[in-house]
Amino acid sequence: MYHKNTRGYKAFWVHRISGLLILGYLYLHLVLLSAILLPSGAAHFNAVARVVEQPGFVVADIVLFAIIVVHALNGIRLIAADFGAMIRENRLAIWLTMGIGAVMVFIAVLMLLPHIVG
Amino acid sequence: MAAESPIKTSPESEKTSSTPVSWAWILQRFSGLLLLVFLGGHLWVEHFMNTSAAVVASRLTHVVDDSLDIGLLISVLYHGLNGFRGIIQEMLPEGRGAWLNYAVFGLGLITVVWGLDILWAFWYHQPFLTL
Amino acid sequence: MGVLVSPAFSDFVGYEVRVLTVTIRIARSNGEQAFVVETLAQQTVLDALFYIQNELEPSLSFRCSCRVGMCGSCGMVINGKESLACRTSLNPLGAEVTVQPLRHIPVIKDLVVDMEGFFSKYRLVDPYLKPRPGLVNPIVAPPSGHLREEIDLGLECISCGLCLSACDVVGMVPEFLGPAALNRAYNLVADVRDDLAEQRLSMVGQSRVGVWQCHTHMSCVEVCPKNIAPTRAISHLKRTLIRRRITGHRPRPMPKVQRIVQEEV
Repeated sequence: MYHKNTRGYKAFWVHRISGLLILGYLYLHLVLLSAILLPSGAAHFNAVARVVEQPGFVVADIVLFAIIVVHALNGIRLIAADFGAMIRENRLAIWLTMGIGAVMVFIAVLMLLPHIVG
Repeated sequence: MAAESPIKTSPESEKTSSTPVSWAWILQRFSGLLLLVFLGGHLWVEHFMNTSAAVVASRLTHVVDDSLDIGLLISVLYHGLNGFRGIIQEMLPEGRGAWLNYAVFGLGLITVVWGLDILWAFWYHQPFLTL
Repeated sequence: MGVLVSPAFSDFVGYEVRVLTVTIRIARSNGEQAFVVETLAQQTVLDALFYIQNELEPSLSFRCSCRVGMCGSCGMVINGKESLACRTSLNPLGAEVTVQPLRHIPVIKDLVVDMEGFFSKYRLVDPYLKPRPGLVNPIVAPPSGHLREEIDLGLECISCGLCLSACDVVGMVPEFLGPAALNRAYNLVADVRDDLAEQRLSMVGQSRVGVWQCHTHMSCVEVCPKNIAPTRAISHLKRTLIRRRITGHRPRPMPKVQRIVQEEV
């Protein structure tokens, strides 16, 4: 009733859920690209492309990018641990992944901002 | 090896999965590292804005872009579906995952064909398999 | 924290004597029970448990032996972290302290757990050294040599079971051997004098039971009272198994080992 989980356990669930979300997005991505498979596919494809350039979809893209960055950086941390690196420094390693991830997402926001507000 | 070894091993346990678990483990890491390259390249090359079928088709005339997309398709499907398989297998009781391997492998194969068909549509301006 | 009782007495003993009032919530077998305890700031959770047992609730059960963190008997989950009660000072814990028995092994009563749940896993890796035949006597890995360096890192284990309790993978997959057993297995695999490396490696290489089930939470590293890093030992076992998978099964060459040991003795 009292138990409180460690940061490694929380990171584990973040990794799992982000991974499943990315896998789900992969299939969504394929479904949207499949517009090209329809008869006169190029026209359908271009129509889909115009829709997903709306500001709301660009914001969703940034969220997707953040999820990918979290999964990728945490994966690097786990591979490092498999080589015996950053195990005792796990706390620092998790802070590093979050810090680097925040910077990367910030850069993505700066790059995509014209497409959201403009 | 000492003949009177006191440690009992059960090699059957390793066989419950059709892929030996150590291969699945190392390939998961390897495909993850490949994804850093492929997905990074994918996000960098694609600007996602003002795209159209013609833009994508002209991009896919370059062999580097083709290999980037095919490599991404295969590595992301291996990494994602193998991770998914691991999550499901962990929830199943011991030795109940044999069908799962075939199901996930089949799903992966279908998805690779699907993805290649989309690329085919850009290469030859009409898909190999039409919807 | 706490109230300074007597400046004169504090001067006498050489440190500030403060009294804390702490509410200790214990997850007992028949439900939670809270006790208000007045204790000196320097005292440990184990001292508070003794106070509760002596003065407030004689039926409270807990286990302890050495009181100095070397026997591994008083492991429990204190404020959400697996700790040895005798090495956990009350002072930094705050006014509310929760104590619960170790997880993933059966509770016998209150804070007393059935350590068979721990040792049954430990026993599976045969946690003793079986000397390789043909080695010169006495078989020694000298304390200063590089042969000792690798095994020393994991040798301090006191089998307290904190890591098994902290390992959430054991909670998900009960047949997983857990950090302590795998750390012991690695220690013996890394020991050049041991004859059972092949058997140990095929034991820890099994799916669900062995190293591949480890999800690298590193909770064991966080709680170990002896600063062992079982995750590190597990990562070594993984790499050894992968190397064997790629290069084929090759037992370590005996003549070389014999030479090293003979030279260093």
